[in-house]
Amino acid sequence: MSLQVNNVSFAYSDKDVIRQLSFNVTDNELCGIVGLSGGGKTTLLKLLSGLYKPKKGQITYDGIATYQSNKRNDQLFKQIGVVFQDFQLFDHMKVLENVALPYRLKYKVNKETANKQASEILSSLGCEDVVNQYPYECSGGQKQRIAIARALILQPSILLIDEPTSALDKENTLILIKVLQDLNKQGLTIITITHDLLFANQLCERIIEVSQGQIIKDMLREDYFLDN
Amino acid sequence: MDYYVQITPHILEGFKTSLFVYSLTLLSAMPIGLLIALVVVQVPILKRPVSVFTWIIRGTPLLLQLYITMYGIPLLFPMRMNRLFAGTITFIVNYTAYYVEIFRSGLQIIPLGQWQAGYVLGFNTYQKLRYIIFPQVIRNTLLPLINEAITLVKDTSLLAAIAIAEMLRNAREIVARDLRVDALIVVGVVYLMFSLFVVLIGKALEGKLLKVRS
Repeated sequence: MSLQVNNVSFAYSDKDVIRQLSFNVTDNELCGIVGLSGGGKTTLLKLLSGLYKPKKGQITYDGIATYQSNKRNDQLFKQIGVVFQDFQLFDHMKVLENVALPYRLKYKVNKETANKQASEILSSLGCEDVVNQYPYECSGGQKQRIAIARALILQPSILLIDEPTSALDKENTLILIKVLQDLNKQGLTIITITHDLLFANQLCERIIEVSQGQIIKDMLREDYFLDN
Repeated sequence: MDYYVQITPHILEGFKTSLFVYSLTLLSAMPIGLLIALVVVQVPILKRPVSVFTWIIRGTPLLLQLYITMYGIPLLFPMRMNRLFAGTITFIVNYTAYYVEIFRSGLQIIPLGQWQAGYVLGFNTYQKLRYIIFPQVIRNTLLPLINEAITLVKDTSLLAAIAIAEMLRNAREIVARDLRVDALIVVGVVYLMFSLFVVLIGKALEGKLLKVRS
């Protein structure tokens, strides 16, 4: 799935956070959006994930706008997976239910089918040992992978991840990079928002740097790090 | 002992009324309170009128509210007020105000990200409330909810003030008739047992729901 951001602006009250931003992400690309804290990266993710509506401009996926006459295109967002910086797992549910419930509700299948699917996807991400635990009993790395599993079980065409390494140590970061690269090889478009340049260098094919709500660099990884 | 056997049925007759008002108040005020709290959180413009409502109700004695419903409203709007109806409605309105505030605080401490997570996972409003928000609200508010339920047990004695034949009023009749305080002791024991029952239910719910960290 491809993404097109056309002249998008967004402001909180009177404070401009995103200013006439434009870029495209092609199908199956692995793209990193980097920049300092407060530069508008997380706001951009919320715009891309449909949580915020652009004040100006348009965001489209495969040519379909995220908002049409003020209404969020819910059908479109069924194809977009989102992983938040703080994961936002549901602490009152066990890990298995965290992942199975969205699948059960989306595909209207019974609990057993959903649990089986969730078990498989959790196992593929190395979380088979924690399926019967609560999220707060898991490590940061496990929570990250559970959150990815929860997004992936809905079979998205594009995955948006906000600051994936903020709660991870070096070892878990390497595991995450491998997971994301594998998913990308399977055809998933991935956009990650990060301030961690080392992580971006190891993972992304293309780097977009955002500062004060504007793109200041948009280059292939090699060019970006040569330029820096 | 024979005396206790003789007076207890009349007191328990009053207990039925107390139990009726208690049950109806809990079963009505709790869902109405939750609904109002939910609407207020979603529609900020309603925050002020609801705050005024809860301020007035929580800032004035329940006894005064009972008098106003029973004796004040019929003066303003000539009508025949049924005592039990007046008492029950007053209790429901009063406890709704408390439940609104309890649920509102329980809703406000749920991170915005939990709502957003439901949103990006494609949950509709009902699914978000049913699976994400309500279970957390109940956990966040269980202890104050149990406290209110215990307070309500004792508050039902205020129904005596508008001449409803609840437990305490029936006991006072017996005391006045026989010039013995035994009936008050029986009433005290019944209130204690009733409170204990509510406390035990509360403990069971705590054990079941709070073992999971919210």
